[in-house]
Amino acid sequence: MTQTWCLAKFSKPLDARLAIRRLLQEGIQPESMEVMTSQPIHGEPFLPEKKPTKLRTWALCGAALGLLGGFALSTVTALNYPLIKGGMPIVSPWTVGLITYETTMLGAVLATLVGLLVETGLPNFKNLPYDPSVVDGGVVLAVACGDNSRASVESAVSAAGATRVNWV
Amino acid sequence: MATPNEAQINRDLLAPLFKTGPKYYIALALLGALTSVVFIAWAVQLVYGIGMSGKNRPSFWGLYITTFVFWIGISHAGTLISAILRVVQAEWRRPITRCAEAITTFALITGSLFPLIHLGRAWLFYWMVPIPNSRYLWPNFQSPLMWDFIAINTYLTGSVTYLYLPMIPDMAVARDKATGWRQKMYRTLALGWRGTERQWVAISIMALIIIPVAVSVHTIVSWDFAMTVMPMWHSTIFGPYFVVGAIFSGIAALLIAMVLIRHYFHLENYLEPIHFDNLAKMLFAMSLLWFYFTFTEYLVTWYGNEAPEMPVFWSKISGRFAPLFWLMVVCNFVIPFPILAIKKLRTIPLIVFASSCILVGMWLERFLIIVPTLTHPYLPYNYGTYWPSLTEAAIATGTLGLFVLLYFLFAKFSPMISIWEYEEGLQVASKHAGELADPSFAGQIVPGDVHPGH
Amino acid sequence: MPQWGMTIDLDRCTGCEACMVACHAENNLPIVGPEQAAMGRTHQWIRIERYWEGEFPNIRARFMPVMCQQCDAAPCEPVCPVNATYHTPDGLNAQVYNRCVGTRFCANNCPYTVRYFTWFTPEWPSPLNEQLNPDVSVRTSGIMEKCTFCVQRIRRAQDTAKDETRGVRDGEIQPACAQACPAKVLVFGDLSDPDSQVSQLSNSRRGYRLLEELGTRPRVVYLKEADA
Repeated sequence: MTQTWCLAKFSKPLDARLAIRRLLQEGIQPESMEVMTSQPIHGEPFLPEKKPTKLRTWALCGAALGLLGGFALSTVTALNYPLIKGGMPIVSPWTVGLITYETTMLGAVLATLVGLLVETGLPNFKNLPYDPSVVDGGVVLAVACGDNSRASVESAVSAAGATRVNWV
Repeated sequence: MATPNEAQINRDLLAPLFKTGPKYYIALALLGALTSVVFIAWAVQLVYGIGMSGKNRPSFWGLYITTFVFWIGISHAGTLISAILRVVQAEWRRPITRCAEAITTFALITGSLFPLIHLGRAWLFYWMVPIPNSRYLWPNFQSPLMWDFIAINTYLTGSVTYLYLPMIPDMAVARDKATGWRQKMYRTLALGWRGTERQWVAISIMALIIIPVAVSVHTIVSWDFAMTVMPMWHSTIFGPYFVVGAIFSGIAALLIAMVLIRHYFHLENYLEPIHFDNLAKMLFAMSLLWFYFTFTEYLVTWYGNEAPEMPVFWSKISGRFAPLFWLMVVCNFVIPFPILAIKKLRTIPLIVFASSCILVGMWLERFLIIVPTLTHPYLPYNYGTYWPSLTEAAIATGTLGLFVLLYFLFAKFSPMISIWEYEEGLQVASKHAGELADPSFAGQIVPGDVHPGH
Repeated sequence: MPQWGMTIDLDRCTGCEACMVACHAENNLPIVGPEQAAMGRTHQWIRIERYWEGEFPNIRARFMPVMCQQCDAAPCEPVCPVNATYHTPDGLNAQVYNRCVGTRFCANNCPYTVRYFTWFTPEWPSPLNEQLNPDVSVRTSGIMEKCTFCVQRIRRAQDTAKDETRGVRDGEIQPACAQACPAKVLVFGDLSDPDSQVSQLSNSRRGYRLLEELGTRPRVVYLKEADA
């Protein structure tokens, strides 16, 4: 059974929602559907929420790593070759705190970057389907279907008012 | 005014990427010439020695550190606009965020050159980088300059990240509209963005972290001065003073950038007078804050009448630096105050004039913080004078060319108004309009709809 | 561990500047030339600060030799990003020439303005190069320098004393300035030795430290003029 993707273009988000409802009724799983738009669409999500993104976790982990790294950097390097400078202590809370604060932020930023790429599935290594016309507006619904569901999928999306249907 | 549909928006905002006129190339050539002045003068300085600058004893720092603080200050534009306005969900920020974030990134890159330029032995700059090395030596984390190093690098990483991530959907639009080598470039940069729901949810989680980083960066830069014992440097006000001054100069630079982009890219429908008006009001608030901090600092100094500080104070108020000092006050407060306060005067041309004055005034402010103190140290026998040399002035002014050059190149490479955010704004606006018109309307028609055939 | 210190008797100083010349010769200080000197880039690790007091006919000139005060709480030390300056265990403020990258932050933070920067690579046209002291490095452009209490003489005396298995005697180490001074203004020695001349002079009632209120804890004690 070969898997093909049906790319259905709708002019209104409402039509796309209608099509999704029909496809769900016909037993197509939400995991095999994907909605693509040119801007984030406010309101109810098109598909039932799969998993919330874990970006906050990524950021917090990065911040924790940054904290430990910054603390280690400022204390260990100072103690490694202790030099008295200006009568100040070798390791002082102010300077260690400052460096640690900055590295915490750095860790959070870098972790957010990596996490975002992971969570959004970028770069598109799996070569998932895409319809370039979506940038001019409208909604594209991508449905993965096997051979036997092709007809039902096509009828469902056409009935909902798809302006164009492609198969890849 | 009719709301443009998405195809029109894409065309308008992508037009500069695909079409370039002769005026751009001429400007580019001029900027290239100005930028090359920086590198030529710097090469001269590297070969002959830092003595090619006008610095001396006791003015060990001069134009380079002035301009360094100036550029790092300008880099605070992006953070304020993007991050803070996003947090408070101010919808009018949408066409401005990309311009602002670009200013931040390129101002930081330009400013970061100066810690290299002003080094006596610049080829050894890597000794300040905290990585294990064959000398078994680490840099000194007690030094404010090392705090600068860490903070500015963190801020640069953060601002490049938060410039690039919201750019990805726009890179995808460019990819879908471009041909030839451009399409290959945008395809790489778009990283295969498809605009799925999950991707939009992720990218809408925006940069709160960059706000505390930005505040800390300019505070740490101010501590290059405040952590010393020198008269009128060792002041607790420097942290907030510099942050306020940075945001002040940043908004002024942003206004000028916006005006140029609006004019030369024909984006009058997107960057509307209301955007300039709102930013001008923020600039006004910053001008008042700047004046408040300056007045406080000088009043407290005068009233305290401390012997080491008074020569510095009087040199600025009535002495050798008085013309520059009062010019600074005029540029930062006297001129902008009526222009930004009176609605009739808050026109785009006058706002640009006020912003330009502010940029001059803020550069002067940095200069007047550094040089009068250095030329009047504790022991009066060591008072000195400072005149910038030709090499020094060439490098400092040339960095303006570098900054504008980088910005110019960026404007041809990425849409200067964030397409998806702008479209999202239209969606939000018409949804609110629909809800206001008929509360039962909510959620039925989701705007952003495109009629078939357009 | 000796703690080096110095006293300067202002009552004796005539402002002759012999100490400055001796320091130049001993420490390979560059001669920068008239244009650079006019710009304010001379090197004077020890300098005589001259202040005029009073109106004619009651004018006084006051001379103060000022060099690096080797502060115990030196403001210049913590601000160097590459650790090129630090406090040695025997109380000297050390400047490591090879490590200096030339940010000049230390010079900005010195309230005594006693740090000097090499703006251009110095030249000693022949035969002046034959006069250079082999015990002291010749600094290239882009490096910070200052008075070291003639650390090369200190170390040499300590080495000699170790070879002869004895301690360093009081008065054995004479920095170039102290050695050259005809009026015996500058006295150098070990402050941790209560019998040394410098310790006893430091406790004089005429003694004070320069800019003491800044909390830098300098190691140089100035002895006020007797009728001041």
